[in-house]
Amino acid sequence: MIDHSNEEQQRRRYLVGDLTEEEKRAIEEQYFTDDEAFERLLAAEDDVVDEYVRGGLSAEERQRAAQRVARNPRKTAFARALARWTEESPADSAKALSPRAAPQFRRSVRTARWVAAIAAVCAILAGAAALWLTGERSNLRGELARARQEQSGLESRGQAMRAREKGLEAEVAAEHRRNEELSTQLKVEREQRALAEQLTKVAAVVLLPSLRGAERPNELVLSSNIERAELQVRLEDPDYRSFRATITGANKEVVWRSGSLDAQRVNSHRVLIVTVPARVLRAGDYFLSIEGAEKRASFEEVAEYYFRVVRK
Amino acid sequence: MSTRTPGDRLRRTEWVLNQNALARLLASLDPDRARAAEKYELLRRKLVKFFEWRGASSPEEHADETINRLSRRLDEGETIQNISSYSYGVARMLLKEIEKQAVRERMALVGYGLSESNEAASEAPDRRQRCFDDCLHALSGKTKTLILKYYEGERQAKIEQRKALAQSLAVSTDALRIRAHRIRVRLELCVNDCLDQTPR
Repeated sequence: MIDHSNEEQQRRRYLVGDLTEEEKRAIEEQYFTDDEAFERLLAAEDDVVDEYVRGGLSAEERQRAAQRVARNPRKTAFARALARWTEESPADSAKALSPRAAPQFRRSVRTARWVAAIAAVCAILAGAAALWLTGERSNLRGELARARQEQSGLESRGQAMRAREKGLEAEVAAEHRRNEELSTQLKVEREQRALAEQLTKVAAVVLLPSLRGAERPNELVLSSNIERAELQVRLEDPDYRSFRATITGANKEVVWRSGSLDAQRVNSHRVLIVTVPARVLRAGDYFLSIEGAEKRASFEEVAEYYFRVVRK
Repeated sequence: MSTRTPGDRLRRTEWVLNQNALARLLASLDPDRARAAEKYELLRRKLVKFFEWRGASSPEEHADETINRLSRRLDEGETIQNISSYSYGVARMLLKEIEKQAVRERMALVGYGLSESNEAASEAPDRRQRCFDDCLHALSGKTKTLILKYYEGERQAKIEQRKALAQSLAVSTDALRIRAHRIRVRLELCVNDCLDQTPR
């Protein structure tokens, strides 16, 4: 049988947040493409939650796991319910009949006769009280049912209003988008015409997020007459003011660095166009790293793209 | 004091998932509609867990935002060869934005978790245990034994127990792990349904 203890350990460390970014990426890339790997991770999560509720994690792991576990209250409560079953062993039930418990049991028998007499008197009193309570309980039940009905009516009215509000918000957003698109359409067309004139010696590619080793990586085809390569990426984060780009080879050696770059607006997106002299790109695999900086802030990593250059 | 979460600021209102975009996303997952729906659910679950395991404050919302971005690209005609890898790339970028936003707003993510846990604490443990017991008894004898044995013991004893269980069932430990997890998911669903149905 294969020993999976290392993988198990790695999964556990991932779940308590004890891995490096690189190690996290390796696990995530695996479970996004392999459904069974994902299930194994879910199973490992069950174990971590179980250990958490049974106090089985180390202090450090417990601290790391605490906020994640706290976000899953039902899962934690489920683990507690399961623990009540799995922690009960035959040894526990034997304790109930152990010799140490016997003297206490005999004393209980001697006092039982007195207890029986007192209990008889109590039973008569309790019977009378029960009759009165039954009537009261019936009244309370009726009131409770009415209150629940009212609450349910209020909730459904609230839901309908929320749905309507949401619909209106979506309509306003759609209208806003249409206006924006129409107003920029002319500008974009003009830009495109101007660009088309320059593109005869330029090869362009739109880079999509892609993993190293993907079946179809981003591909940039460069023929001998091409002087410049344009790598286009779409920016999701609106806050960065300026950017810079670095191209590294398959062994992480720096091939080219840009100066400061500005994003452009195309339709409703922000796009960064990185223009690279074609001569620096030989046939092979590359990474394009984008760093961004907000106003008066230092640069930080924004995204990384993997692409392949094909020479023709 | 602001009550907005990092997720609020990251929510994109410029583009709303529409019927066409959703249909395109499903078609790119699988040509068969029913299988596509299953794959969609699995992808969304992976995204939710990704954000949850990375400590993001609103995993469900972030997963939906990732799917929105993915659908938008497809709707605009981009060809995506591997949806799983691609969605992971989109999710990672979104995570960077979330982390940056969280730092900027100086909001401790742990705060959200704790407030949610208070809600759970209000559920009566007895009621939950009753539901759990009922659901456990509703399982077949073999299944019940498997799940109880699988989760029995602690540390090394648990590991040994699982190895022995896998051997007795003639399956690998990985296969046993997945089998036990699936039973646990069924049991959890049953308990949650029971809690939702029975009065407090």
